[in-house]
Amino acid sequence: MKKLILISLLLLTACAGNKPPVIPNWPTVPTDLQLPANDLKPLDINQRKLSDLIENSNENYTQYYILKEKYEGWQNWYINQQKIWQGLQ
Amino acid sequence: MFELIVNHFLGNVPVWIFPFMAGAGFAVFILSGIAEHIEPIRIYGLIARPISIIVMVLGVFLYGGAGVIAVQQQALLEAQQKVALAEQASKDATDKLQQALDNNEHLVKGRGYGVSQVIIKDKTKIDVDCKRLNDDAWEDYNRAVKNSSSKILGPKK
Repeated sequence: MKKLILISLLLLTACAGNKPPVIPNWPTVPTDLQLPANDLKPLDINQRKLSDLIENSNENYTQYYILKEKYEGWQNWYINQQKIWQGLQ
Repeated sequence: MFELIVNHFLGNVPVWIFPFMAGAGFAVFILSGIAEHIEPIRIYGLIARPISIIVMVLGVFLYGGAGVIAVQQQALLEAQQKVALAEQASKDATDKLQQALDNNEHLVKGRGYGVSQVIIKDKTKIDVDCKRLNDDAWEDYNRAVKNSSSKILGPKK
């Protein structure tokens, strides 16, 4: 009788222990962050004045700051998504 | 096999069947034990006894399986809700970031344009002292502009 009770208890556990199979979708990335980075612009051979140099530098600085925003955007995106993902564990 | 039982059989059968099976099996088990001592029906008792044990064990096992499936269905529902909330939070975070990126790019470009306008305005004054960069300065500047990375990490073009 004792064995019967023990076996019954074991049987009652059936197939317990498996985690429910729910897989979240891979998070999307902002479209801006998927665009390729432009190269810095060299000074044209015909543009040899100091104002041309400053103008060119201005364009390159602008380019740099845009890329900096995107770089920080990737970091921000990763940290946020990581927090959300860890909340699921 | 266990998964097949749990997913396809247990889900479609009323749960009360299983304790009933176990109870009936147990009752038959007891009755068959008594029947074995009564000579005219002894043979029925001998046949019914192992069958009653199988029915009882199966009933207990399936009842356990039904309990597990109920728990798992609840856990699945909770997990799905949690994932749905996380996916929405992920989308909201991405949308917010996209908006911030658009805004910041607009600000950066605006500032670049403003500086460009100032340079155009001051062009004459700027070029007074330097009408033409010498070749070395031009070459050095463009050398600094050039990217020497191997492009391994960059996107394929």
